[in-house]
Amino acid sequence: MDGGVGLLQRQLVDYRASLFNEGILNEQFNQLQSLQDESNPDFVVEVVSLFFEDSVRLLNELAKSLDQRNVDFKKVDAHVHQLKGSSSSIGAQRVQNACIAFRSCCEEKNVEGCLKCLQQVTKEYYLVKNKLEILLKLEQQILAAGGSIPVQSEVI
Amino acid sequence: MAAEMMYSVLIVDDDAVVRRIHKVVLERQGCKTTAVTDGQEAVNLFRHGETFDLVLMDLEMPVMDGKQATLELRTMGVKSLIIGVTSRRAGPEVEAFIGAGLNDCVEKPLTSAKLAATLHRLGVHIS
Repeated sequence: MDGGVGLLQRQLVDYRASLFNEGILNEQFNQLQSLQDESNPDFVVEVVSLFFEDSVRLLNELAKSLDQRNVDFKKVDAHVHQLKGSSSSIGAQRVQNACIAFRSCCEEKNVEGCLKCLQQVTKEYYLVKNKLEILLKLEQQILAAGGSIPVQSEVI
Repeated sequence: MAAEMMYSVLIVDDDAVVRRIHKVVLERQGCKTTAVTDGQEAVNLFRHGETFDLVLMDLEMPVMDGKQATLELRTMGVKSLIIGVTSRRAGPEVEAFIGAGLNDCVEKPLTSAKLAATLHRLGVHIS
C-alpha cells in the first residue's frame, strides 16, 4: 500500500469518526454510503448535492417568509418540514434537530423564536455542508490516487 | 421479458433527496420505479391507466397531499399496496393517513431494512 494513500485513508477514517462523534452525521449517512455501488458509483455525491441545492432554496424561502409583516406560519412550517425530511434522509443530525426546535416555534407562532431557529438551522446547515465537502474531497483524493474507501466498520 | 415481471413501485414525494434515495433502495431490491412529486400526479397516472404493484406515498406534499391522494386512489378502486412514508410520528395525522386507505405506514428515513420488514409484514416477496 502506497504511504500517501494509506495516510489519506487514515485521515478519512478519523475525519468521518469525528463527524459522528460531534453529532453532525448519524447512522443514516452510513446507510447512504451502503447504497453506493458499481451501478450507482456517484450516489452519495448526487444525494448530498441535491440536499445542498434544496436546503439553500428552503433557507431563502424561510428568510423571505419570516420577513413578512404577517408571517404565514403554515408556510414556514411546511418549509421547515421539508428541510427536516431531507436532512434526516442524509443523516444530517444537527440540522434535523434544529428543524425540530424550529417547528415548535412555528406551532407557538413565535416570530422571534422562529428567527433564532432560522439562524441556528442556517449555522448547522453550513457546518454540515463544509464538513461533507471536506469528507467527499478526501474520498475523491483517495480514489484518484488508486486507493479504496475504507469500510464503515472501521468508523463505528 | 424480465423487465415485465419486475415489481413496479410508484414513489410519490416532493423531496428530490427522498425520491433519489427511495429509487436506489427499491432498485436494489429488484423493483422497477417511477417517481412523481405530488399526490395529484400519482392520481393522474392511475387515471391514465398506469398500474403499479406498490405506491410509496409521502404525507405532506404541495398540490395534493398523501392522505387525499390515497383516498382518491381507493375511491377509484385502485388495489395496489400503498405504504405511507412520513416523518410524522404516530398521532392523529398519521392515523388519518392510515385511515385513508394505507396498507402500512413507516417513518422516514426509509432504509432497505425497513422496506424489507414492511413488505414481509404485508406478505410481499420480491424476486
